[in-house]
Amino acid sequence: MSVSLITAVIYVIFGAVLFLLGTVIFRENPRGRVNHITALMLFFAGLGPVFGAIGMALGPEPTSGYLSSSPLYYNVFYLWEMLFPQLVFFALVFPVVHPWFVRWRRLKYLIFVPHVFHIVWVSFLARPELDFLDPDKLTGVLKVILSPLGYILRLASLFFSVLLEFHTKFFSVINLVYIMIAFWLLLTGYRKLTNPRQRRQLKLLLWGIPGAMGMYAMAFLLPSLGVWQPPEIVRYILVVLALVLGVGTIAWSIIRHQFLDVRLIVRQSLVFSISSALLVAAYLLVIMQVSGLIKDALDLETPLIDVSLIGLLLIFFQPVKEQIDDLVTRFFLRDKADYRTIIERYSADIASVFQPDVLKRRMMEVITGPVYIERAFFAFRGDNGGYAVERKGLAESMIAPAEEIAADDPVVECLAQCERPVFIDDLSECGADSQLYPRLKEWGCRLVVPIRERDDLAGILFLSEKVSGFRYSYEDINLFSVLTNQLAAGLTNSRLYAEALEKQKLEEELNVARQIQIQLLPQSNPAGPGYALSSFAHPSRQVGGDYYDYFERPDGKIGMVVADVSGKGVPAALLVSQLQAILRAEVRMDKPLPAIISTVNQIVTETTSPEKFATLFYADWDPGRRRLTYVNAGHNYPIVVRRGGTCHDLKAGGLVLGVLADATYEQAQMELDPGDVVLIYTDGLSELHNPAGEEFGEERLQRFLIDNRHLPVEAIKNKLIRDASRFALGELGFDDLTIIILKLEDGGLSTDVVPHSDE
Amino acid sequence: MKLSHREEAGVAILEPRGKIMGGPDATLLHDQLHEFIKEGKLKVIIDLSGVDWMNSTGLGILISGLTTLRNNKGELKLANVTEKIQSLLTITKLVTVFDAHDSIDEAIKSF
Repeated sequence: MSVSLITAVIYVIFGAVLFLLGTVIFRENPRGRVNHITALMLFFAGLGPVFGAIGMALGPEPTSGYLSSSPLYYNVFYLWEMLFPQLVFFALVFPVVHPWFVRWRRLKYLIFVPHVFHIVWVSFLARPELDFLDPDKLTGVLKVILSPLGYILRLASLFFSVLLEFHTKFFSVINLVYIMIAFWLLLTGYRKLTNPRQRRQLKLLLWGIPGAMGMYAMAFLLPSLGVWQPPEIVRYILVVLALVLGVGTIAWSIIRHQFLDVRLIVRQSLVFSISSALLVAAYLLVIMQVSGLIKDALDLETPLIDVSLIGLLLIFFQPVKEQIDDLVTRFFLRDKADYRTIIERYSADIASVFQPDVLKRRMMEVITGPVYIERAFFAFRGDNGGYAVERKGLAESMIAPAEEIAADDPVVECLAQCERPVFIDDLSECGADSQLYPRLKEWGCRLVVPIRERDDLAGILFLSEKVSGFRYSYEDINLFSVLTNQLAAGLTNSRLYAEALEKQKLEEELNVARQIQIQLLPQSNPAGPGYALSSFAHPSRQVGGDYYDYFERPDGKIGMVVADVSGKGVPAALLVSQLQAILRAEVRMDKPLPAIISTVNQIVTETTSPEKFATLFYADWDPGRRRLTYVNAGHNYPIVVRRGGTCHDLKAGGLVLGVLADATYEQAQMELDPGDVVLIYTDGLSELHNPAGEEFGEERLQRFLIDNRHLPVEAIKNKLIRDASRFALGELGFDDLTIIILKLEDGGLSTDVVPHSDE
Repeated sequence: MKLSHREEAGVAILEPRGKIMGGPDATLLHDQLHEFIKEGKLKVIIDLSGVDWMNSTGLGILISGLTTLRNNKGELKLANVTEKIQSLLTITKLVTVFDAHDSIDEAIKSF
C-alpha cells in the first residue's frame, strides 16, 4: 500500500513535469509548429505516468496486458500511447521541416490509425459484455434480427479476435517501429545539419531516443513475447525512466533550440510538480481512507466505489489544479518570451504616444500587471528641483511613503550616480543621514530604479517586493532597466514633440503677422496720365522692418512713402504698423509735409525705446505740375535720373525718426520732366553683397538707372531686381528690400532740360 | 564685436572692435555705459577707429547710449569715425545729434 502510494506520487510528479514542459513550450510560441507538436507529444507522454498512478491507486489490473476483460477506464489510460505517432510528427518537423510533412498534407495523420483503433475498437467493441458478435450468445429480439447475418458476424468475430490477439501481443512492436522511424528521421536530419549548435542539440536526442526505446522494449516488448517477465514495479520504473530519458532530451533540445531560460523552467517545473503531487497524494490518501471505510461499512467489494471516487476526485481536483496552474503562470511562468512581449509592446507605445502621463501609466500597468509587483510608485523631477511622487495607474488605497522627495537627500544623490536598478539594502550606506531611507524601508521598498535622461536623473521608480515573495532575478532587473530607459526616451520624445508643436505655432503666428503686413501693403500702384509707378517688397524674414505706401492727398497729389525700421522680426513689424497708422491718419489732413513728419517723429520717439528708430522718405507727387515735394528723414537718398542722364540725390529733410522728440524737418521740391526716373529704395538694395564681400552700392545703382532710363517703369524694376539678385548670386540678402520707381512718360518729347537743383 | 575701455584725463574711452551688429553687442555696450554712470564717469568717448561697419541695430545702440548718458546728465562723443560710418551718420542726419571728432585728443578737449 505505502510502496504503491510512493510510486504513484513519483508518477504524478513526472507526469506534472511533462505537462508543464509542454505548457511552457506551447506558451513560448503558440503558433510555432514545432512548439505545438512538441507540446502535444509531452502532453501524451505525461498522461502515461499520471494514468499509471491512478491505476496503482485503483489497485492492480484484474488481468495484465491489453486484455478485453479489464475495466473500461484501463483502456482509456492507453491514450498516452499517442505519444509514439506524435514522436514521428516531431521528428518530421525538428530541427527542419521534412518535405513529407508538407507533401502528405492529410495522409500523414494516418499514422495515428493503429492507436485510435486500439483505443476505440478494442476498448468498446471487443468487450465480453458487448460480445453481441457471437450469434450463439444472442438472445431475444437481437437473435431474431441478427441471426440471418450469422455467417458474416461469425467471420467478423473471428477477424476481431485474431486482430485482438495480434494486437495484444504486438502492439508494443508498433510503438517500437514508430520510435525507430522517428530515430531514423532525426538521424537523417542530423546528417544534413551544418550548424554546430543544432548538431549538438540533435546529438543529445540521438542518444536519448534509443535509450528510451531500449527501456520500453524491456518493459513491454520482451514480456509480451514471453522472453522475460519482470516484476510489476521494475516495469513501471523502466517506463518512467524511458519517458524521462526520451521526452526529457527532446524537451531539453527544444528549450536550448528556442533559447528558453532552462533554469527558470526547471525551477518552475519543480515548484509546480511538487505542489501538484502533494495535492494528488493528499486526495489519494483521502480516497483510500474513504473507500476503505465505505467498503467496510457496506461490506462490498466493487470497483464502482473506486470509480465514482475517482470521478469525484477529478471534479474536485480540477479547480484546485487550475488555481495552482494560474498561480504558477502568474508568479513563475514569466519566461523571456513574456519579457520580449512586454518590451515590444512598450516600445510600440514609446513610438506612438506623446503624452507623458499615458507613458507613465502604461509603464505602471506593465509593472503591476505582467511582472506582478505588489506596490510601486514613480517620483519625477518637478520645476522646483525636488522629485514629486506620482501614482499613475495605481490603486487609490496605495499609500506612498512621501509626497515629495528632496533632490539633496543622500539616497537621491547616490541614485544619481547609478546606471542600473539597485536594491534598497545596497543603499544603506547612503541612507544613514537620509530622511527618505527609513520611510522607504517601512513602506516595503525592495528595488529602486533610476530613470535617466542622458546624464540627468529625471525620475525614480520605487518597487516593493514581488507578490510571489521571490527575490528580483537578474532578468527582472534587466527588464526594469530596459523599460525605464524606454520611458526616459519616451519622455524626451514627448517633450521635444511639445516644443516642436510650440515652435510650429509660433511660426504660424509669424505667418499670420506676415499676411497682415502684406495686406497692409498697397494692392496696386497709382497711375495717371504722364507718369507710372512700380514697386517691389522682399521681406528678409517672415515679418520685416521695411514699409512702403501710397496715399491720396486732400489736394489731389499722390503721396508715397518708403521707410526702414531698425531691427528685424516682430518688434520691427510692430513699429512699422505704428508708423503706418500714424501716417495714414496724418496725411488726411491738409498739413504741410514737415509738420506731418514732425508729428510722426514725436509719437515714435515717445512710444519707443531709445535704440529703436526709423528712416523715412516721404514725397507728394503733383502730376499736374510734375512737381515732387519731399521730406527725407535720415533715409538713403533716393536717386533721380534725368532724361539726359544726369543724376540727383534727394537729401533734404531731417534726422531719423524716433531719436529726438523735438527734431525739426524741412521739405524740398523738384520739378520733373518727361523721361525722368525716380528711385526710392531701402538699404537692403544698396547693401546687397556678392560672395566676394563687395557691395552693390549707390554708384552701381546710378549706373544702372542711367543705362536703363529709357525702359518702361515695369521693365526697369524687373531688370533692377534681376541684376541685383544676379549680383548677389540669386540670394536677395538677409535684409529687407523695398523699391518704388516713378517714371514720367517721355511721350516722344526730346528737350534739353535744365536740371533743377533740389537744394 | 570686442569691447575694451580705458580712461584718459578723466574721460572714459570705449574701444569697440569689429562690427557693431546688435544682439549681444547691444547688451555689452549698454552694460558698460551703465557701469560708467554708476562710477560717476559721465564723460564718455566711443573710439570708432576699430569699427569698420555697423547696421541699423548698431546705430540704434549708439543712439541708445547717447540717450542714456544724456538722461544722466552725461555726454557721449564719438572719435575716429571711419568714412563709412561717417556717411551713415550723414545720411541719417545723426551728425547733428552726435558730436563726432577726428581724434581722441580733440574729443577730450571738446568736453
